[in-house]
Amino acid sequence: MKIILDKEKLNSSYVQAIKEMSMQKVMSCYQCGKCTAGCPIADFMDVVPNEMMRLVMLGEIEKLISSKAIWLCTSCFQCGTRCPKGIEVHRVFEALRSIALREGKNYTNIEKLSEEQLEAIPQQGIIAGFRKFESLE
Amino acid sequence: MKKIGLFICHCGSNIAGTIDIPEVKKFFSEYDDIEISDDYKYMCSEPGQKKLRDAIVERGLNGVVVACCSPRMHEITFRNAAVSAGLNPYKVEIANIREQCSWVHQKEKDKATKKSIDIIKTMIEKVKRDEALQPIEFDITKRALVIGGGIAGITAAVDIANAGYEVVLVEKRHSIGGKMLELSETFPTLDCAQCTLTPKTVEAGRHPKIKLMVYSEVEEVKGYIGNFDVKIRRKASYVDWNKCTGCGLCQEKCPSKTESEFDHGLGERKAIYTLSPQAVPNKPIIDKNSCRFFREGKCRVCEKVCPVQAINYEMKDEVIEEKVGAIVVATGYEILETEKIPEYGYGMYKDVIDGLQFERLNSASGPTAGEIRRPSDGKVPKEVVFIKCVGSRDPEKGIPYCSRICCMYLGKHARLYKHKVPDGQAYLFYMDIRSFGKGYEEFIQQSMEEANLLYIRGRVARIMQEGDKLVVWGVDTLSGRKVEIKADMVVLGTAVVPSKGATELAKVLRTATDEYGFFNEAHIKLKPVESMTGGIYLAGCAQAPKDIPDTVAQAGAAAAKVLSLFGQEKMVQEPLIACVDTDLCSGCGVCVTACPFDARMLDVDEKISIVNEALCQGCGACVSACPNKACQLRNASPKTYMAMVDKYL
Amino acid sequence: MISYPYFPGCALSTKAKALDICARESIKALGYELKEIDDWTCCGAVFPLAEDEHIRLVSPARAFFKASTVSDKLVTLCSACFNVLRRSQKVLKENIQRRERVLNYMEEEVPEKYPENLKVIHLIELLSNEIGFENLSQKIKRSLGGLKIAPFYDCLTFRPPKEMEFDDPENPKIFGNYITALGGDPIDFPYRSECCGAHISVSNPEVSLECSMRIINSARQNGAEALLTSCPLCHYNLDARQKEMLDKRIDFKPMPVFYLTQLLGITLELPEAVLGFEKNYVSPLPLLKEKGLL
Repeated sequence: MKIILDKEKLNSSYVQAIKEMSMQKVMSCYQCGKCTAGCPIADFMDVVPNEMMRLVMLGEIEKLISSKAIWLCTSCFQCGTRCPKGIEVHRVFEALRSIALREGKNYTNIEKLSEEQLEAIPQQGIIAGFRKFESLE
Repeated sequence: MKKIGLFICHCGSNIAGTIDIPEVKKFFSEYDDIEISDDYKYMCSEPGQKKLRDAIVERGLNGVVVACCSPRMHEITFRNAAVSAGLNPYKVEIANIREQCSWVHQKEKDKATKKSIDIIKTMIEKVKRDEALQPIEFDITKRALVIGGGIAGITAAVDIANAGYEVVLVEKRHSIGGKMLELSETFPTLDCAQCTLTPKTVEAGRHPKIKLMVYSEVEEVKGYIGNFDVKIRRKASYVDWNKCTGCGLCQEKCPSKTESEFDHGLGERKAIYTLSPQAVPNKPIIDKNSCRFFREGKCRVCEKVCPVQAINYEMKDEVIEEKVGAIVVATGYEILETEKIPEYGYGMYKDVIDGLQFERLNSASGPTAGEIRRPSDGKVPKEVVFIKCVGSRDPEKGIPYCSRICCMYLGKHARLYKHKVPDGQAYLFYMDIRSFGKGYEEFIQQSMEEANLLYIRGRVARIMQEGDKLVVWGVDTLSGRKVEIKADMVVLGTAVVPSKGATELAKVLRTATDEYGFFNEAHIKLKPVESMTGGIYLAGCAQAPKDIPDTVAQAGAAAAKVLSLFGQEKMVQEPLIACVDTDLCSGCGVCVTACPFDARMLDVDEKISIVNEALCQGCGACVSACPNKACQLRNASPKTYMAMVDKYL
Repeated sequence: MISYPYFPGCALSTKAKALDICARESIKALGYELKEIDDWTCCGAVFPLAEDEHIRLVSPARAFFKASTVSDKLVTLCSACFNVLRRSQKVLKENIQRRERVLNYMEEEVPEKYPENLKVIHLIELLSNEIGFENLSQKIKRSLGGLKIAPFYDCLTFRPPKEMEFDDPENPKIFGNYITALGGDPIDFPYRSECCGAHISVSNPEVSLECSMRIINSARQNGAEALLTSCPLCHYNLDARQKEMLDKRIDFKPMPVFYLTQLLGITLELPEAVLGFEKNYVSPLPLLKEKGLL
């Protein structure tokens, strides 16, 4: 499936929002892939971190907002810690999640959590979960 | 009476597109002291220069202002033109109306025209006061110093010596050959490195015009282009090399062993040792840190076995003074301390090695006699991962530049590995494949096809030891997947950095290095082998990372620069330097401390300050420091400058 | 007795009580005091990564104002609190505009009086810098007797390095040095700083189970008898979820996971009720008894 590029798309308000919210120089990514190579969850992602950076550069934001990968990110910060260009890739992930949440998109329903899980999972896990997987229905 | 000619250059549309040249020309046609006001499309062209020459002769001009580009570009052109027409070159000045006017004021043409008139006015004031000066001449010491005995230094030294001039070749280690001698085979032809290099080392070692000073370091350099005074420290080897025959008995019998630097920690050497079997000169030294006698006070085995009584435990460092006219810096490179990238486990995991270690593994003279066996258990590795850009192109953790050789040598390593382990698999992680040299792209493609190498586009994030395997976490960005390889050995293509001590040497030489410690060239395109200091030339990786062909080419170029200096009868220097008004000088000596070139000193008898004309670069530091205004720059006196400023205001 | 203001956080007040109680009692046994600041509220648990989220910094700012009335340090222990508080203080200290936006939400606290000099420190920093590991090894009553413990370097305490400024995230040493100070044998293992799966155990429990399982297996392969963590969520993933690992893999062998402060409690011979091992899914008691540490 081809991607049609033009300057409007490359500089859309979506792209601007991601650059501003993440405060990252997205265009300085040279696609070495070290973020993906060290990502503990990349094995399970439909869009791996370096592809995500590439799709942001190409303005393909909608594809990213509907991806599973942005919700699988554990915010372990390994990608940003190792990036040779100093890009905090995790902040770009967060910007994508924030946009998705503000648009009312969500990933899982918190009601599906069992009593047992609620009892055992420490608050930080549940809050991080709620924050990312907020059910807005 | 002043008869000044003004020549305004259009520089195509560079100047004429912004500045109203007819108006400027008209303004100056009636101006005081101006004999002729003329213009031309390209003053630097031959017809343009002819206009200038003809006017000097026909109108009898005694001063010239050319309004054109920066004096850095064509001052020399017009001064030479003036000389050929019989006018002293220092009576020609440039009014820069391009870089400092038309280029920066393209959107304000009226103002630009007015400003160009002001600039020309000031330069007319200068020309009116300029004195006719004569270039300063000096004798040249036609001997060269080459610092560094790798392939770059050897090449430069042999080239200069073959032209008939004496060369002092100084090498830090105790034999020459440098990094190239440690290599196994070289790209793109897979020639044996030693076989290619040793004829050169032998030639350098035997050349009647080359004075080889190994195990020595340059400690002090004074003087200037054509006349340097150098102090060289020859470190104590504890072996009298005049007596030593290089028989090797001491090495054989020495009971103390330590890690071999030449084998990059993969093999061992004795405390008394030569660097390699092909060492030039083939003489040993005693390493005090590992020698049992120096550490524990007893042993003296080498002394007992030496058939010619060459061992001398009392030997001291010697400082030797040499006079030379030119210096070639060929101090080479090191590789980045890979410990700086701990996620790759270098230093932690024995089977994670660097490129130079692989060279030793693959070398017939190396610790495994050329068999590819991994360091931890000596097994032949069946899955080997090669990683490029380790520390290179990594502004966060390493260095931002490309090291230029890793793409090629890792491709070579993988291919050599496959020659020796045909049933093994080689993986190469890369970001880009930079195969720019002659025969390089073909070499890489051939390696891929013949050796069945798997190139994987992406970086590695982590290497972990699991049992006797190294688990490599990488990525293949082309398929968009994280990849994991259980490897037996990993080879890191580590960044090239300047050799240790390069920055300190630069201080001794009073020349500049860049932010990484590579020696700065005088101009990146037009003066790539000249350093920032006259008479000092650069060769090889001392200037920037480069491969062997480029190194040899640059070393040849550096030698050619030295020879073109030595080919001159006398050194000629610009006379635009400091001078002292003896009536005003009180001999306070402020200028002596202010001078960055050691060009100022006090005349004790006369109690005034004097200028060493050969050393003075005309920087003006003494002028601004002098409390009595006794220091002045020729043709740039405060009076002249005040007159120029007055005209502008 | 030197007293430090202390921010325990939600998890330590409920689900990770052993981490909290051992900290307070151990510090007391060492002659210092952790004084809980009054009326603290949840730190927010996740540091807001998006630049335009301000309200999430209000709770940290409140805690800083409170702590600053008694000290120039605020001690915390939970990795999530430490991560949020340390990074919040860095932002509020360095970004005046953001500080003003955040303090707009507050009534009494004014930007002019902002406690810029307050430093958020992890309990391990209190132990290593204020008390000193050497001093600590003198003060303990019982050595861990060479117990082989693999220190797990969690994400939130060590990363992002430019904001946390805490040890070297690629080559961390601090927990290992701590284990050494207590007389244990720290086991370095490849997965020492790979994420346990964190909160995705809420949405994708299978994925995070894989992440956690490989950490435990790697520690065991390298000879560890137990793991150490200071993060309640890591503890949940690495300890409580061993139940699922046992169900999933027949050959899986359980491994006790100590909280950072439980080890200190053992060496200071705190009562078993304080050590709180009953909350550990894999009980460390058999191992401790075998080693004669109880």
